[in-house]
Amino acid sequence: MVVGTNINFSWAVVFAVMIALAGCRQDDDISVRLPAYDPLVDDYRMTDVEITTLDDLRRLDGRATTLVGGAQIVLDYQKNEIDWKEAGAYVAFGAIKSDGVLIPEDFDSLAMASAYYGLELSMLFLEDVGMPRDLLVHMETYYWPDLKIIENDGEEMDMKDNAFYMYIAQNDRGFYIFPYEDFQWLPLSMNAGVMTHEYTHSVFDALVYDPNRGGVTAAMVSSGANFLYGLNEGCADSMAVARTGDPDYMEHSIEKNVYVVQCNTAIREIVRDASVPWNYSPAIDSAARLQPTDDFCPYDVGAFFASLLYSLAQDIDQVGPGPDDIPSDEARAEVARALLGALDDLGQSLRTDFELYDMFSLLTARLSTQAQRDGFCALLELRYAMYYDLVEGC
Amino acid sequence: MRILSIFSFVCLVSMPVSAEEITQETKWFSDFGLAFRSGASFQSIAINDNSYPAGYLLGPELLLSVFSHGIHRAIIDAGYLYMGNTLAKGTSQISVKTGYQRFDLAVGYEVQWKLLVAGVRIGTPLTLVKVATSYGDPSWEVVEVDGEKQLAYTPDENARVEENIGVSPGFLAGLGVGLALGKYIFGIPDLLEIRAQTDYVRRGARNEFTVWGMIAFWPTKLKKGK
Repeated sequence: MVVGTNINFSWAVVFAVMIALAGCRQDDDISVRLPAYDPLVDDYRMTDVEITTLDDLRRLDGRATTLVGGAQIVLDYQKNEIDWKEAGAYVAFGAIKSDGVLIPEDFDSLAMASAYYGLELSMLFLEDVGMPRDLLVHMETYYWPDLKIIENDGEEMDMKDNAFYMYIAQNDRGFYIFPYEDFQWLPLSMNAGVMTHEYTHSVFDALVYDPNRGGVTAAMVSSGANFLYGLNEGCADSMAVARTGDPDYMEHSIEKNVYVVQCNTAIREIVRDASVPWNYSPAIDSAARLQPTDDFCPYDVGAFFASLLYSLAQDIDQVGPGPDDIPSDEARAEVARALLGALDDLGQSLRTDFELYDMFSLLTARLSTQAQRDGFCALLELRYAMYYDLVEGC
Repeated sequence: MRILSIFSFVCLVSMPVSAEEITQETKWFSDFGLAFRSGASFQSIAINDNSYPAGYLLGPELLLSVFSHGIHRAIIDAGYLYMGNTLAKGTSQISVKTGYQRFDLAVGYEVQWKLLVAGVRIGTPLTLVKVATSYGDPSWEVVEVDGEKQLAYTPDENARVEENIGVSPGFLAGLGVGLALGKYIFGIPDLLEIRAQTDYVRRGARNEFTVWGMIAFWPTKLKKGK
């Protein structure tokens, strides 16, 4: 009996050790080799980075987001509904260890860890520049969901080569990263700028749309909604550039001069570059004022806004206005801090006939020095001449 | 342990043993066997731990009978498996190729009565993972396919390839049934066995199910004869 007990105990110990070996959490091992942007060469390199906010490395579940795979969704514009065929499942990040660094063992593990890391850096950057830590609800990142879109004319399309933040209802609020097909460069999930762009949309939602949801936003005139839509894109680009210091961050995932898109009445390069100055033109203005909201393309307004804020950062840093004159981390953070504060103010003061100069007035007030305000006003006078007189504080 | 006990109980109840066929002599480290196994592996994928694409597996295995008494025996087995679920995925710019091999070390408990062999085993599979990450700058050109313009990419010949090899430990539990054909073909009990086995492996957040067939040859039985 005693012998039997000892054998059972031994088995139990062996069993427990094996379970522990198999299921041990690797949360202490947070150094991971991922493609990361190197501003010195303006390219991505495999780099050992630290991920700091994971609760469960194996599931890529942490404060920044939770990765979910295998979701199947039908977005039906004819019925105006979203149907979740499959809610998705946990992902299973796999890695081996080399010299204390985790090497993702397969492409999807590499891409998903990159997505988490990109969102984590975005979250930490925005918190550094003033985003209240608990304002954003925790959101899932749906990796490679099967999203079928049924257009109003019945045409069906499977979403590829895209990444976005979506909020239709609370249960679908999250980030979506779709399979690559035509874009054979750096996957969007590995592009630090793209991840910050999408994260900023969720911040814009929290600061501007959420306080006005069902109230001001429901009653907005189409021009107000269009300007706000354009501002949303501009803020997302501005934050992406401010965090990465990479004004044409999209170029790593989509080469320039390859894809064009029709934006309102113009044909535009799909890759936006904040270092290229934009002037607010009558064409941009009339499109925002006259286009129905459902047909409005926000990227011209967005590109104008992002290029303006990039020039502001250059002005604050007193570097030249050229594309290679990258403003310092401090100057970019200063602009990001003012932008975030202005968005918070906008959420409290949004009007149904919102105009871009409302935002510029708020932004001017949020700049911390008179020199910064003077520089910004000079930029507005030059590039936003049509409505410069309506900007308060200039 | 509860599962082990239930399994043992079921085996004993369902297999009536005649006293004259079973030696009650206790033997320690009495025999070793050589085996070859082949089958299929179903490993959950990174982006969905509920999805299990199949891959083949094959490899040798060494068996050591640690203890035997009556119909009972305890074994240690050490096996190597080449896993045929090599992954290659990525874009023209960045891609990852992954190969898997597995080394199993397990202890098993088996019962044998006449032709039938059944057992359970638990152990530690060490999965050897070879990762090759390639990062380059592909060139591209516009081509027309079926009247539609598309991009054709040419991989970068000077792409940087980084190779890493690592070991990923796990937990293994398996069930198997088989036939001890030695006595009926060669006249030597246990000389040759065929088995079907299924294993469950837990490695990190991933599940892996393997189903395989095995032929085992116990050479030390040869000199002992019948």
